[in-house]
Amino acid sequence: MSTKVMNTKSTSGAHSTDSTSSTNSNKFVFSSQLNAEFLESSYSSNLEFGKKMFSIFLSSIDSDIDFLRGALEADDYTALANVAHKIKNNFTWVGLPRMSSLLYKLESAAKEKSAEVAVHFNEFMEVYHNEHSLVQSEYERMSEFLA
Amino acid sequence: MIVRTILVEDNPMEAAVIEQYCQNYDQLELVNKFTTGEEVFSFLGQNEIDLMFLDIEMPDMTGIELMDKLPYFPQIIITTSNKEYAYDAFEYEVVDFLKKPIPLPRFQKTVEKVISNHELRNKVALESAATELYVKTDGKYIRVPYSDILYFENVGDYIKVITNTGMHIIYGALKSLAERLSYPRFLKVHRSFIVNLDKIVDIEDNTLVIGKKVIPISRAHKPIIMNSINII
Repeated sequence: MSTKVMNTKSTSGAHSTDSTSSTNSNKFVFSSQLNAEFLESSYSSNLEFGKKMFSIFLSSIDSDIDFLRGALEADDYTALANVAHKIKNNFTWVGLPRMSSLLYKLESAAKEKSAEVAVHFNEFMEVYHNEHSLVQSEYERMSEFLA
Repeated sequence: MIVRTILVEDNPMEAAVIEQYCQNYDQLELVNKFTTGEEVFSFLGQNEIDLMFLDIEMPDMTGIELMDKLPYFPQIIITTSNKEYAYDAFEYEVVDFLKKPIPLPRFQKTVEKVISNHELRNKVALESAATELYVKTDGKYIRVPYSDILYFENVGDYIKVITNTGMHIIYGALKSLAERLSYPRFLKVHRSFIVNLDKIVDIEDNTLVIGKKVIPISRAHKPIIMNSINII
């Protein structure tokens, strides 16, 4: 059986310890403002793939958020729950599991048609723009590293 | 041994992950990707696959609804972020249920099981092909051991399979049938006949007899048949 297996060994402790993060000449070091351990284990053996994932995220997330907002304004809880469900893991793939958790709360509230939906949406949006900037910045660093 | 694979996933990031993971395996050939169930039906109507990664929540239908309507059942790996479908999915005897975001080690464990299943299925099919064939008659697949077959006769677009006990008619060409028969005692003796050497009663000039049937031997095939029998 011929199988190409990616490196899956634990990389805990391999990420940077300061919030600015850095790269050295051999290895890309993910920002500690993101879930660096997850990003390291997912992309360290293939940073091009990591860059691709960040690129897909950045190209689609704004329209997904617009859709989320539109569903909230239209009181369309089903659509709201569906979109929140669909995109929540996307944040995990760019190192933002905390955003996935906020979307999970939003999805659950929308499924229950709870009055808390707007609260959870606002909670999410309060941090969204800052987190989006982190992803954008990390994508640019990866691009620069790979150039 | 290639596992022909399709991916059904409407989230581009999750699709990219599975596609990337698949690239780690020479055995997996990702032949197509789809975002809706309808596209899958259209494709499967004309193509044979061995494995499907199936997102349980698609825009036009659930993966459960899709499995209900499949024309045939390849190996299926369900992918979802929602565990509530797990019970229903296992009712369909899917290979596994992968929760998103899918970690690579979990994916590897499942795919290795798929590859092992595929190899086993092929081995069993090869063993079967060495001793028997199945013919489709009246909507049923009937097992016919090679040892029961007297000869095959090409008639137009069809082939008569003459056995000890009767006859079956199948659609196809003798040439392609000959390529699929792995039984060494079958020999083509004429453009319209493949015979079972063990069933020959006698051979005379350019004919041979099996049962009461006189079968022509073409000039081109005569030396081959004479070299295939034990003449004292």
